[in-house]
Amino acid sequence: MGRIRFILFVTLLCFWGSATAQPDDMTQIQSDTYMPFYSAGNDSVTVESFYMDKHAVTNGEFLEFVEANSKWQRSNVKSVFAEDGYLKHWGGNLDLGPNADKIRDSPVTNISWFAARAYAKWKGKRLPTLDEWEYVASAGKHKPLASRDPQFVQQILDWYSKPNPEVLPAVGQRGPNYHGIYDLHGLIWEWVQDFNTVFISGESRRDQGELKQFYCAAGSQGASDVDKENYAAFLRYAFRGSLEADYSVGNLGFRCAKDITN
Amino acid sequence: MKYTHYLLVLAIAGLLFGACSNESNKNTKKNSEEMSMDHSEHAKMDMATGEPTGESIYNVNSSWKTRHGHTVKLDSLRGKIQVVAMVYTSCEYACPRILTDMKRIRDGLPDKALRQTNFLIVSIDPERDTPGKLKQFAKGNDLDNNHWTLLHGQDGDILELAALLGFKYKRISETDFTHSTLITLLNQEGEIIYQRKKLSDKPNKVVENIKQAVAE
Repeated sequence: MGRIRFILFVTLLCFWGSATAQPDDMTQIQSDTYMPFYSAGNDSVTVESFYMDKHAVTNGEFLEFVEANSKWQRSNVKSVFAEDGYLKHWGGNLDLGPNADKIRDSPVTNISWFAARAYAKWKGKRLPTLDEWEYVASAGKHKPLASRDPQFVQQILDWYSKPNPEVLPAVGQRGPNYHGIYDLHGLIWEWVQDFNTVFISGESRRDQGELKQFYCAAGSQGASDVDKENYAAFLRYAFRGSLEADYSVGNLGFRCAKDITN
Repeated sequence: MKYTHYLLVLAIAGLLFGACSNESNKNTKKNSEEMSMDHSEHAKMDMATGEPTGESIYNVNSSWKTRHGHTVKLDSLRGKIQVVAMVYTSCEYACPRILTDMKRIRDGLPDKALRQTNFLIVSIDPERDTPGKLKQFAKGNDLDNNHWTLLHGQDGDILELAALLGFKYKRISETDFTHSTLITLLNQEGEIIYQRKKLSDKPNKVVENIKQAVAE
């Protein structure tokens, strides 16, 4: 009995780190209301409280996932869930390649929406919704809603205009935003759960296309400051609208979210 | 102290178990009895066995409910050509037109092709399109059991299927959605072989593609 208890104790010690680390890597986001970039008037969106990963999922973390779930390894993945470029920057199924040490703590990219979703599920988490992501990403360093702040937007636009580095830097190199979340801008683009809700043009209903609406607004007002404030968000929506769930893109990664349950 | 340990060990065991149970679910065999109640031709479909192909949407593991309340997996549709649409039954604009087009496709098929084809309607409004509501909808629109499957699912599973088909949708009010008007054609293995993307495109091309798939 003593021996069994000892084994249990050792097992516990081994798992202690992983069992308690998970909440530490997340931050609780308080419920709030924000204005999506396409809103015209008072159609603000309320985001309920939830947990969000402080950092994007890294290559090292994703490696653990594919080690435990062989069907998500590069040579095993079903083509319907991930196109050819899936994890192409790795050396092999369980090999981060020649840059292993450099990329271990960099955000994992070249992963499809299906793969990101499977990872989140494995962690007992989920992907953030588009509104959750946009709300948290609209926070500057010191205030929760900075997306109408020209300096904040300019920084994002400056990043968008830069080419991607050969090797992505590690996560968490820059300071956190107001919510304590890192790298929503300036490192990678991120999958969201409902990326496929963006309509570039109205499909089943006339004039429901959010981006079309934006084009029209921009056209009628000229290139005013209002447009520029929205332009960074517009680019993100346009990018999402162009994605298919099996795409594996070199600068597109993800982070997880989680519901708050009592 | 001792208690806490045991509780934690239990919790961990639970976690580990949870992570593994997804895998074992995958191997759960579908209940063929339930199948045959919905579709007389399903006995034939069971002949298609083995792992789905790489491009097959039947690689998903989600569970759905038919209009009769039976639980099914998508791979139970294997073996027939599927004409797939995602709709919501209270839609007044695009969905009735999609359904009309699906009926036109049905009516355009020669008997032999029709026997090998099934029409699949998946609701994007699980809250209101309960199995009972789908049954009512099928009845009101003359969608018989032999050629029409209507499915009710969970939000996440609907989103996943939509992602596989490249179908976009978004709730825009309490009662309405904006959505793509796709009609997707799946071959016997569940691979996408054709998509009618615009409502304004005539459904003849779908018919031609079915005939071709049957001939192969």
